[in-house]
Order: sequence, then structure tokens, then C-alpha cells
Amino acid sequence: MAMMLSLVACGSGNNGGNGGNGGNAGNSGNTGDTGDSGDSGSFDGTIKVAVAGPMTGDNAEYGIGFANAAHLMADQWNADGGVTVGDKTYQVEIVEYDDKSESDEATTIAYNIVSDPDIYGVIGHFASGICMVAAPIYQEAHYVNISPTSSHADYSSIGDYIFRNNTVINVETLTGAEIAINDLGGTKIGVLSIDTEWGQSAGNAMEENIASLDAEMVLRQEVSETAVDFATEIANFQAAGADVIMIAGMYGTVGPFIVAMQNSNYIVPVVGCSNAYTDQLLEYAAQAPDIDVYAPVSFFAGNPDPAVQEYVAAYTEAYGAAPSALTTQAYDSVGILLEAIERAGSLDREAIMEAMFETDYPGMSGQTTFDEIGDAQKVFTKVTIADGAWTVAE
Amino acid sequence: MKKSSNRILSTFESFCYRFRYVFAVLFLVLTFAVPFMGLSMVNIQLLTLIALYAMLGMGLNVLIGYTGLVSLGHAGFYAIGAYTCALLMTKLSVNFWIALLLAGVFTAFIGFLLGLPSLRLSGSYLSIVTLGFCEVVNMILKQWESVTNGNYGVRGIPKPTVFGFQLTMFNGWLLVLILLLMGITGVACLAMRNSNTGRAWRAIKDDELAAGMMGINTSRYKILSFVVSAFITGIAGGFYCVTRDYIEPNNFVFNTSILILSVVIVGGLGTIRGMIFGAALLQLFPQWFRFLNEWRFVVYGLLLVLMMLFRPQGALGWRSTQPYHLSKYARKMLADKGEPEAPQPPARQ
Repeated sequence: MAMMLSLVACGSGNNGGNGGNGGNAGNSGNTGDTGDSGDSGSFDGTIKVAVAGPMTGDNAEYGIGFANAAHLMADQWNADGGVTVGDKTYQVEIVEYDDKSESDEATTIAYNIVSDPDIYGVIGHFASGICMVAAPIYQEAHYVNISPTSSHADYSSIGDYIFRNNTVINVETLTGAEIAINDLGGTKIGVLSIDTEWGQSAGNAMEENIASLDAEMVLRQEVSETAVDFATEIANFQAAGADVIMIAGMYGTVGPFIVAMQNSNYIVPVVGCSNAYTDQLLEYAAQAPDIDVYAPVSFFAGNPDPAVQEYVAAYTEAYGAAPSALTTQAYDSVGILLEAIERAGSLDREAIMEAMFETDYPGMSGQTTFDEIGDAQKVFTKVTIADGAWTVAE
Repeated sequence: MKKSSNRILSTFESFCYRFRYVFAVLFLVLTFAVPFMGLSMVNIQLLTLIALYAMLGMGLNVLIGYTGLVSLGHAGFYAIGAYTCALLMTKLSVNFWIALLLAGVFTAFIGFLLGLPSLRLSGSYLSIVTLGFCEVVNMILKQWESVTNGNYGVRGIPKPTVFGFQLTMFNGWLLVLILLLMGITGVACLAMRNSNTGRAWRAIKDDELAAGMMGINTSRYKILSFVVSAFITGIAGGFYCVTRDYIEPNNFVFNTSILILSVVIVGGLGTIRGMIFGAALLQLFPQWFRFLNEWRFVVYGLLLVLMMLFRPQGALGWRSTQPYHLSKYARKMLADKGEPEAPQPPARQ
């Protein structure tokens, strides 16, 4: 016992020391390449914006998209003379944090972020469950947090510093259900959802919207987020006679699912959600040429609006691929935050938060305002895959 | 070479043993000084995770390190503790301290139930049962929506209070709480290890048949080992839920079980010092090497493989060089039986 006590004592002492070092290393997240866009001599200081999302692991595509979009937006602001706060101008610096889509890691990162007084806003996180864990920390520390993707019903009501630049899932799935029922003429709809908080919310919203459009939901099936073998689910949908499948899942679920449908020779259209609109899904669609894939999106890169085309060209030039809808929501989120800082006229966190509520931002993902709890409202475009590319659905 | 290192170890151990109360007091003083040290939030969070995983490690260590039963499903117990505590507090407004205790007791009960098949199974078969247990718990948490809220998780978990004073991560008092819980668990584990029960456990680990022949009721002790392990893990889970505002089933998956197992194996099977060291290493490594980005997990994996190759007993898993300290009670019993002097076994592990 004695030895244990002593070791606990030593251990805890050591830990204290180690912890100190750990914190320093933790703070040195990789900083972005924003410095090259202007001579820092012309700025009075730096405003840091944290981008937190999964940069590695299963959902890395989304987190890296966030970071890319944020760097692009920051570069544009810096090229235009930075952020003007009162009579000073500040350079924008993006700081990336990788939460690996893991809850403990996200907590640590959130504490990392609120330990840095130069950070004036957080863009992130990606998955709803992760957002729900991190947001109370930002709220407590009074850091404005805009999630470009969170869909948990209670997310924005966590506090007044918590915003989301994402659509409410009911509106998104209503457009999805309209595609399935009004446009594709489906009468017996099958719903496949992944077993995460988001998947469950989206799946439930699909069920409600299908019922509201007087169609029948014949079968609801839940699969693991990481599942890649869908033989059983497809056989069940087939047996239930589903003529359109709606999927509440990321491209990592939709992709293998449509390939499996093709392989089982079960040829019916599939309607996804806005997060299915990624270039990765095109690769899967190439292996499933007979399956028509549709999705409702708040942003579509093929939009003829010149501002959108300019943005798509800039993004494509910088990163070699067109931006996705969620990436664009992250891009707009940075703009919304920086505008709010300018409008606040000071670097006081409370003033920035109050300025956020006055947002009326002409973004690439539509004109954006926030309601009283901090939810954004958006309009959807219907897109589909044709000839190996995303196009507006007829 | 080996001899001299043994001598240093022996000196170190007797030093630690002699000043054990000094260390204990030092630990307490340091613990209560935490809120006044001006630690940054990151460090508070890291220290909290280290202490939490050290405690989880100690819980699993009772099974693996003492009794030799390998569990791959401790995230299941962890989840039951966290959910019991969170649901009691949010749905029934139970006081945190009572909820924490009930979380431990309920988890221990589940541990008892899971312990029953351990009578018939051993080795990898038992591990697979525990693996299944973890999955079953996860499924129940996801599907039993009326009670657990399914994938929506439990949110709005209140913070514990002491006489109206709130313990939070931001004021550092939750770190004090987990350090105390870890300290108590550590002392309790060591006391148990050196008791009749602990000796019976270790006898089972070394050779179950022989232990049975020596008159040890192996069934009883194996189940007891499950119960104690589950209780510690349940308490840790109960604490975990108040460090955050929100828990969901995805917080308690197979990877979590593996992380706890890694703490035990990397630190040093069967030791308490090892649990603290293992937890610190596994929590700090990803922090220190954040600049390596995705490469840090390659390095992390490499480190674990090298460790298993060259130091399979764990970083701090050395055998003690100290003589075996029999308790007063045991010495008295031996004396009463008329044995002249308690035999001194060469060394304890």
C-alpha cells in the first residue's frame, strides 16, 4: 500500500510536469499557409480562427474540406486588407485542429482552443455528437462557435455563442422526399439510416416527410456507420417492394450501398442527403451505372451565378476539386464570423456574439440569417449524377 | 549489470516504502492545490483524462493483472456506469454523490452477471464473451430509446456540488475529485491485492487447478474479481459523465476497451504505478506528437509494438525486490498456530 501511495504521489507529480509540456505541444496545431498572402507589416495584429474537424480517420474528407475552405476565405480577406476592427486592421490566421471524430479528442481540442486568447471564433466540428460535446466548452468560455454541419435538434440552444450554418434536417429531407415521391413517382419508399445521432434524426425526418407527402414508407433499416456489406438490407428492401430508397448516410455508406444494389441487380433510384454530394461518391457511381442517385443540396458547384462560379474556380485551382456543399457552408461560416467581428467594432467576445445575430450574409450557400437560437435557413437545389459528374436534376 | 540495477531498484523501493505516509500527504496536498496552480484548461483536461484512465486501468487490472481473466469489454461497464449516473441525475434528479454510488453498485451487479459465464470459460473464449458484452451494451444504449434516448444521447448532465459549491472542469475541482477517486482506488486495490482475497486471485492466475486443490473457492473469487472490477469501472464512468455535458453510445465502443487494455499492458500488468504511467503515456503521446499529424498514429503503433517486443511486462512491470509484508492479522494467525516465525518468501511480484 505504501509503495502504491508513494507511486501515486510520484506519478501525480510527474503527470503535472508532463501535462505542462503536453499543453504546449498541443497548442502548436499546424498553422495555415495564410501568411504568404500579404506582408504582415501592413497589419496591426492577427485574428486567429480555429477550424476543428476530422482531418484524419473516417470522415477526414469533410474536415479537410473545412480547412481548405477556411484558408481560401482567409486568403481572400487578407488580400483585401484584412479585418478592420475600429481603427485597426488585422490579418486572419486559420488554425487547424484534428478531432479524429472522437469525443475525448474533441474535448481536449476544445480546451486547447479556449486556452488560446487570440482565437476569436471556432468553425466546427463535423459530426453532431462531437459538436454536442465541444459546444458547451465554447459556450462556457464565450468563444463564438459556428458548426457548418451539426444537425442535432438541441445544438444551437446549448447557448447564445453557439450557431450553425447548416440547414435544419426536416427541411433538407423534405426536399429529398419531394424528389423521391413527386419527381421520381415513388409510392413505396425504403429508408436506410446509419446508427448515429445524425442518421437517426435524418431517418426520422424522412419518415415524417414521406408520410406528409402521402406515400408509404415500407421499410426502415439501420446500419452501422462503418458497414460496407449490405446484402441483407438490399434483400429486405427488395422483399418489401421498395421502389425508391432514401439514405440517411455519408458517402461512405451511400457509395458501397449503390454498388451492392448494382451487384444484386436491384435497380431503383436512390435519394441521399446533402452530405452525399461529394466527388468521392462519383467513383462509386461509376461502378453502379444503372443506379440513379439524387441529393438535395444547399450549394451546387454548377450554379450559373457568376459569384459562385468565381468561388468554384478559385477553390478548384487551389485544391484540385470542386467544393462540396458542406465545404461551402464552412467557407461561408468563416465569412459570417469575420463580418460579425467587423460589425462588432471590437474584439470583445460578447460584442462579436451579439453582432452574429445581426448576420445577413450573401454566401455561396445562399443568403444566410440566424434565428433567435442561432439556426440558419436555406433553400435547396436538386442534383443527380449523370455521365460521371454532378448535374442539376431535371 | 543486472545485480546493480536490482540493488538500485531495491533501494528505491525501500525508500518509497519507508516514506509512504510522506508521499501520501504530499499527494493530498498537491491534489488540493490543483485549483490554485493556475493550470491551463488543456492541462486540466489532460490530467483529468490521465487520472480517469488510470482508474479505468486499475479496474481492469483487478481482472487481468490479479486474476488473469482477460476482458475486452470494459467499455461496456464504463458505459453502464456513465449512463446510470447520467440518467439518474437528469431524469430522476438524483444527487450526484448518490448517483455515483448507485452507478458503481449497478455496474457491479452487471459484473456479477457477466462473471457467471467466467466459471465455465477461460482464456480467449472468455475474452470473446466480454467482447460480445460490450457490443450488446452498445446496442441496448442505441435501441432502448425510451430510457437511453438512443443515438440522441443524454445531454444537460448537471455538475456535482459540495455544500452548494459547484465542481467544474473550469475551476479545476473535478480534477481534484478524480485524483482523489484514483488515489482511493489505488490504495484499495493494493490493500485487496495483499489480502486473503488478493492472494487467492493471484493463485488462480498462476494455476487455477492448483488453487482449487489448495482449497480456494475459485468460482467465488473469479466472480468477486468481476464484481470489484466492474464497480471501479462503473464509478469511473459515473465520473466521466459529469466532466462533460453530453454522452452518447459512440463514446463507449470497442476502441475504448482497447485503450483501457493498452493502459494496463503498456503500464505493467498487476501494478498500480503502471496504470498511472500507462494512462499518462497513452494520453500524452498523441498530444505531444500532434505536429506529426496523421503520422503520429504510425509512430504510436510502432511504439506499442516495440514495447511488446522488448518489454512485454510493461514499462513499469518490474518484480518487487522487497520482502513480503504480511499483515498484522496474518502474522498473529501464524503465531497463534505456534509457528515460531513467519517464513519469509523470497519476493513478491
